Amino acid sequence: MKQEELIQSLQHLQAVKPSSSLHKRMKTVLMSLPEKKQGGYSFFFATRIGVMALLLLIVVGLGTAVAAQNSYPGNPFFPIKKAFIQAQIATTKNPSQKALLEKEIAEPTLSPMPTIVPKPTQKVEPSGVSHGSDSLEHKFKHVIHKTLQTFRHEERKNDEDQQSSEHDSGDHSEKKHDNLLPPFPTGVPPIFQLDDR
Amino acid sequence: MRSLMQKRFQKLFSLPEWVLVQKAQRGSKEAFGKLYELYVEKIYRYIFFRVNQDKHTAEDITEVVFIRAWEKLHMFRKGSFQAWLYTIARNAVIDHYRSDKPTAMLHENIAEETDHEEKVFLSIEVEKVMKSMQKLTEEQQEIITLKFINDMSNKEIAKILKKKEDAIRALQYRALQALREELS
Repeated sequence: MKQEELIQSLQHLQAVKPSSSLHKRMKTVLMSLPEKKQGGYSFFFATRIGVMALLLLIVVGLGTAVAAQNSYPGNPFFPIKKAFIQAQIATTKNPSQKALLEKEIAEPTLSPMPTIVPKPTQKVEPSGVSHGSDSLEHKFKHVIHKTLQTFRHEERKNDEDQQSSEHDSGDHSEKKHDNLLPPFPTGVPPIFQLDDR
Repeated sequence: MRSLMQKRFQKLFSLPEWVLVQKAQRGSKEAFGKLYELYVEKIYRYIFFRVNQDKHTAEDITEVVFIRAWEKLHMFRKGSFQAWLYTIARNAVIDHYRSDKPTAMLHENIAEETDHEEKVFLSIEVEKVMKSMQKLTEEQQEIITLKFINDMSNKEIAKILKKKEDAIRALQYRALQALREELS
């Protein structure tokens, strides 16, 4: 008999199986076995969980590192890249190396500038700003209006004071108060159309 | 074909062995039952060829093996559960011979005692192989059962028999040679 045939014949012996009576008997035996205490997680199980968590951590860490490496300002991963380079700067003693690392941080910040900052000829008026600028204009008008009113009121008061003092002392050449502001121009068209809102 | 598909399907959706062992260690009889289903045939076959193909003795020892496994499951820490189970079976066979069976019985021809069903199922040639196996040494019978009947790897066999893989390979070769000589 050849070796292959012999091995084949041996493999046929896999047909040797226990009788069904053993299964029945074992079922009864298993049922009657003393109960075991339900323990917590075993050390072996905990180790497996630990190893899996470590692997996950490594995968996430590597993913973050790769994402941070190719990040630009505005990207959520950019602070990680920046922190990493800053740590490198802190640990580097060579000034030229330090300068190179600083350039590495500065470059991605400055390179997109031409695209972010508009050209002087270009009119930039984002749609959401119009309402904000209206209210700002209104506030500005209101402040100017108030200031002008205060000036007029002050001037009127000054004039009255001057007249009464001239009347009392009769000295027309000497001024008691120097006006800090020039006289309010008359006949000049207003800068803004003020309304009494 | 259908049963093969069913087996593959079951394998795909069944819990991995280490989870079953963990559950059984925590006291789950259900998990231990599944482990029993996984290994009972292999363990029985191993014992059957170690006890001179005595069906009843093999069944008795198989029962003892699984009871011992349940009792000592907390001692199983790492490595192959299968190898651990085989070690229990091996020790149970040794205990069996130490306790009540004289060594002379080992090579007694008891092929006639095998079940009628088995005889019908197994061809004459295979039966001849079974008879010849009884004439081999205990070690040779063991290696043939583990390697060629139970389809185990040399690494696993080395673990069970506590020998180096090279030694297992040499032993395998000698066992096959001896069996061929017996058959010729």
